[in-house]
Amino acid sequence: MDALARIKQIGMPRRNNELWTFFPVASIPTLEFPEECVNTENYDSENDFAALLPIACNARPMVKDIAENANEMAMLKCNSDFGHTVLNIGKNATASIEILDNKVTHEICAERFDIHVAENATVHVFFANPADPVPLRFRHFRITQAAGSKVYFSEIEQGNGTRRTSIDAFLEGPGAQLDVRTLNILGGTDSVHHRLTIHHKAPETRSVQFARNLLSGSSRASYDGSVVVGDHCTKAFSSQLVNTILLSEDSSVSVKPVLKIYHDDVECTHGNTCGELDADQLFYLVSRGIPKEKPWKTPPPKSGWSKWFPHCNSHCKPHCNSHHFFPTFPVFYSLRKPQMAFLHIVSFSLWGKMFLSPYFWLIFKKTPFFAPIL
Amino acid sequence: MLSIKNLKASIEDGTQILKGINLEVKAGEVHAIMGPNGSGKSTLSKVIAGHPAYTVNEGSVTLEGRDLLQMEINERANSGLFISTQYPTEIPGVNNVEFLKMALNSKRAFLGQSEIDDAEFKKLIEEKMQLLEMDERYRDRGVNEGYSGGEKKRNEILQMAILDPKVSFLDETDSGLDIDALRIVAGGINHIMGPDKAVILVTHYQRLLDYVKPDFVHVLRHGKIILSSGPELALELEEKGYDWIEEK
Repeated sequence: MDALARIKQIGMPRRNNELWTFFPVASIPTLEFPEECVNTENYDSENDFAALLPIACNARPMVKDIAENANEMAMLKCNSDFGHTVLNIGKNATASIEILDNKVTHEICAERFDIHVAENATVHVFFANPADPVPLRFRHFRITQAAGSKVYFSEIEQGNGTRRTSIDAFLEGPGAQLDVRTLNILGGTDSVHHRLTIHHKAPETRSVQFARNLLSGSSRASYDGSVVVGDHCTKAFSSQLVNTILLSEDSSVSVKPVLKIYHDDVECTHGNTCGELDADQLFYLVSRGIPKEKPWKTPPPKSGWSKWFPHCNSHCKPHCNSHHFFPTFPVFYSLRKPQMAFLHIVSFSLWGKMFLSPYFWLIFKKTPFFAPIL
Repeated sequence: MLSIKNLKASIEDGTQILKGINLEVKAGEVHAIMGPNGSGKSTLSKVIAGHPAYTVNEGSVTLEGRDLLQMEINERANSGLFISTQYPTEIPGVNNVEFLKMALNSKRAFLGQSEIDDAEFKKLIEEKMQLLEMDERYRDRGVNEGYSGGEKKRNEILQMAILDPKVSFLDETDSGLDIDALRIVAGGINHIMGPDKAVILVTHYQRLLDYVKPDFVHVLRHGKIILSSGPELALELEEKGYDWIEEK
């Protein structure tokens, strides 16, 4: 069954569909599907509407092969409402993939990425939403990893609409490793949703999920993270941690961890914390003259990169630093309660600077809120 | 410079803590406020700073003629008011030096000035840290994070030195200080103090006043200033306690 037929079979997303439980499905506009699907690949086993949509809508595929032992950087940008990218990473290759924002989208933008990572290859995938308003964006990643491969997936969402990122990862070879880190800084009516399913299908595979939410206004975030550890996956390791600070009474977060473990000798953890900023700390800062709505400027990058991305290679770092097309974006949070009428401010001059910012990583390292991940 | 008239304030449950404070502080003056525990000294500093836990029921507080009570918390600070609390708050993750720079730039922005140059700020903070005999550890740590009681107080004076306020309200700055630290902190206060500034010291002991000479000493009890006099009053209080004042 092709993607179009499969979509017709499963229908539009509904809240009673477990994959879309937390998503505001009413935000999905009425879609006009083509009469036939150009891609005739079989999608019988695909259940996620967002994964099928670009293919069903005949997104023009872009295939990028990275040769064995190569060391490459790539920037990907979708220039239509629907995009489909296939990345084949060769054995022992190292790749840094930066996904740029789609600026030509209309009501909805849906992109699908199929990433095949061969033995002992390392891939860094990262993207940040630079705050261009897009009403609705889906990004789906299907990642298959061979033995010894490593995928580091990093994402920042700043809102300006409704976002959904879904990842289906298959750790198929022994020693495969997946690291997913997301940061959502939302305000207003922004809404960001993550749906992940990580399949451990070999021994000594490792997956780490680490999500942070800073929510103000009436923003919403959700994190639906599933880990499936198959039989014979001895010494598999999986962790999931979602920490949220709610900066307003109307913001909300929903977290759903799912662990399906079919083997004994494994280690799987999940955690979720939710809190608000300390009123005394806020008062102290404001009492030193820092205005309620002034962003905190971060100092120039120093040495935080290795703290945040201890695994990141020297190849990736200068690459990140060299891209300043992302604006420096101040983020602030106004609070409703008088006693919390301060704004927490974080300013990032994106990826490189942000992660390299001592302030940024110090927050993540030293506050009780963020400490567990480091 | 700072004028407090008939200031009455209460906490959330309606309990009135300040019951009519009157205090006039002129430029160049050092005032000491003494009083037993629970008399309202710390509350006074917090009310002036605008702490949301307190409600002002009556009275006025003006700084150079401007009504502080109508200002936001940060505006009060940027207008020249500095409040050092008895227990400085720890803010892990917020770098101490960056915080200071941010606070200074906020004040400069409030005053219509440009942000301080990095080199200029570096020079400024080095100078002030040297004055207070603070070592490099203060640079890299979070605001008051993991500091001892004395280190926190020293850090408060560093903030005061950087922000250069017109009126400083220092609540028990001497508590937790050893003899050497007391000398250093007092030296810092004296250094910052000038003819166009004023300092209000809240203290329980004469020892700080040996280093920072007050022009006036006030006794605060039951939410009111019940006695004001010269620096000799502090010595008398140290000797006799507070009960004799009410008996008198």
